Amino acid sequence: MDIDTAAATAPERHPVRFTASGSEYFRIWIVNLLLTVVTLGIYLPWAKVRKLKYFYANTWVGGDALDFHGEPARMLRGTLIAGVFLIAYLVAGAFSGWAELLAAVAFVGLWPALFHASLRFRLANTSWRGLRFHFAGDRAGAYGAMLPPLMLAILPLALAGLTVDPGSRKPSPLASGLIGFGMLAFAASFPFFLWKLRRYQHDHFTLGGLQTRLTARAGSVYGVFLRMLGLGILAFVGMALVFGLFASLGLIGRKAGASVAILTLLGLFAIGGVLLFNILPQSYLQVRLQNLFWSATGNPVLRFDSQMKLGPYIGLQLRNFLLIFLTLGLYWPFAVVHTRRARLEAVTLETRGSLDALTRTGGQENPAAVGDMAADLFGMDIGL
Amino acid sequence: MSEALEARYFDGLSSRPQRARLAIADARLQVTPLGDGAATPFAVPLAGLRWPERTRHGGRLLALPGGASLQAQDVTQWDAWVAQQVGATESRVVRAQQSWRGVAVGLLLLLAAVGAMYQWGLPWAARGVTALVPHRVDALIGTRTLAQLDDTMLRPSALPVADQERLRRTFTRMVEAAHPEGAPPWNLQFRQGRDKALGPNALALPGGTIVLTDALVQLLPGDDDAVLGVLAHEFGHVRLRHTMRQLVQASAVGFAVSVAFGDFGTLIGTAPVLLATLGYSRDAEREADEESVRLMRAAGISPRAMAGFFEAIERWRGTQPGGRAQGGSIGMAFATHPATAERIAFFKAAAE
Repeated sequence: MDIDTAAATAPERHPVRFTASGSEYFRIWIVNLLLTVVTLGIYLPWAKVRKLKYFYANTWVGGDALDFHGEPARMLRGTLIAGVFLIAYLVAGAFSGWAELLAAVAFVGLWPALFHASLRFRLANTSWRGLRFHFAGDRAGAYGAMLPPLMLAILPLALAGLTVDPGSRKPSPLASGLIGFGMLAFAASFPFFLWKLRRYQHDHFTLGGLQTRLTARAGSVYGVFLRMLGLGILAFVGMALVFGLFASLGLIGRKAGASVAILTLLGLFAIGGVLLFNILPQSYLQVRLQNLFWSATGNPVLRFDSQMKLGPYIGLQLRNFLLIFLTLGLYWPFAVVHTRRARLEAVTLETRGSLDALTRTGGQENPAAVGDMAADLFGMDIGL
Repeated sequence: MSEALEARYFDGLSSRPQRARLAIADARLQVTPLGDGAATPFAVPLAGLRWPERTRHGGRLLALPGGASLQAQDVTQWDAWVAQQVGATESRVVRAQQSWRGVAVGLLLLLAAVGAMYQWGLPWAARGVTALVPHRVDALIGTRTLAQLDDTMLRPSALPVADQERLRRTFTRMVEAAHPEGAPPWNLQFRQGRDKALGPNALALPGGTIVLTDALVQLLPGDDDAVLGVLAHEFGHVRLRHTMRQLVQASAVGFAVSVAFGDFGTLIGTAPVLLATLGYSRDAEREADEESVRLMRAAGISPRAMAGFFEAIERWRGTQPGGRAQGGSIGMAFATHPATAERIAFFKAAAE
């Protein structure tokens, strides 16, 4: 494609549409859960393929839906390997000393490889207009992006564990200092490492020979996190003020006779607390980071633009939380669909030049599924 | 309705859509690309094709062997054509998920399956897994836990050594009487709480260490029977390796919840784990009570002693600030135990 002439024209905008419905996904979810429970987890890959095929067939870009091509029977092997790995990790984690350290080291050592394998599998099995996506990042890149933060998080703990004096069983001042310093360093560098990781991902999405690049800067990620911190402090002060007000009115702290008024108040405080310290910061991060990263992803021919609004998203998450709570979890699939819709439909694909002109470059890939199944079992977020 | 269907065809090499006419003949799907410079027509066997599931608003995409694919232009037309030309393409699972009645049956079956897993499957599996864990591991965890408790919540006992020895000797005979074939190793430690609120308490650690607080021994002065009953209860936890079993069960429940609600969110996922763990710990208390009755009977002590003990505990709790809602924070945390009235009734019935 001729980039020079393409850049001269105004971009064509293709909003992403997501047409899945909560009730339809609810039915898929129930049947999937039943079969997974009855087969003791063997059905997991089939359930996953059914779910992804449903979501992809309802994700429309420029008038065409996505498709997922994973083969459940092939993914079963990956599921079993990942399952054995998970059980070994859980069991080792329950023991003390060396087993725990060993498990942590194995975890750190394998995590980037699994992450990389997961991205490769997921993209190679996703198609749009008959073309498969491809993840062009290599394994070394995954280690480069993930190993430093993982080490920073785990090394101080491991070192402190080794320097514990068996007599007193209390960590030495040196060890405590080490842990404190490690945690501080991790917190301070987290936005940077998040940026590095996202750059590793967004630099390597490929479709038909077109690779994306991430142009966002690390400073912008720090900006998002600092503003979230400020918001958190504001929320905390606000909550403390309201609480103090009620306490001074004598409504809280009165002994005995748990009156309805006090219970109602406590309930409101619980909801307020969840809103302020869970939903608000989480939603803020999700919205701002999605807008930041996806709006900075693309290349001269093809570019994304994400304009997610914070207010409606917080409202949606609060409603999701309350309804999941009130329905004892049955609202879950509805919440998943609504959240996906909010996140996907905020994205627009801007193209300069025709969408028809992409062509396949590489051969057919067939990466193993173990990474992606492990990502599912461990709750790893590969951010797609 | 004509026998051919028009669809979008992608050759898998370029993103350019082509129009194509579809027809079925001789158990093969015939694809005829249309328009200028169209690709040559071809046919693929129906047997290897996985037709897309019908959804309300989703696209219909059919992957063909070799990387090419078809996409419906008009979903309604596509569905009708497939139903007429190909027949039933959807499995029983898909048909179940497409009808509310199928889903309602599925939900009921799911609840039954989860209930059965919770009631029988998981405890059975946890017993099996626990049996595989060497006893050394229990002992290791127990030693570490006791050391931690000594550092934070407990201090050495002030009971006369003679009293400690008497209880130890009597309980040893009691265990021998109930388990002449031999019992798992146990040892009895006396401690008192650093904080008064800990009060009369007892706990069993993995590996066989039973900790008894001075306040518990002094709760009913001169009445060793109740103390021995409590010891027998804790011995039940030791013999059945309840701590290890609950560790295994809690991990399994946590895993199941993360698979079911895997998409996002952690705050909500912890609630079912907590509930299941509480339920299991109540079951464990019931089992330990049964063991207590068994040991008391073998030693010729009336289980009524335990009923008296619970009434004394209730009285003690009434004197504490915060009243009845308070439970011990470790071990025999009475809040997690079956209702006290129910347990008193159990021991009284066992005495008859």
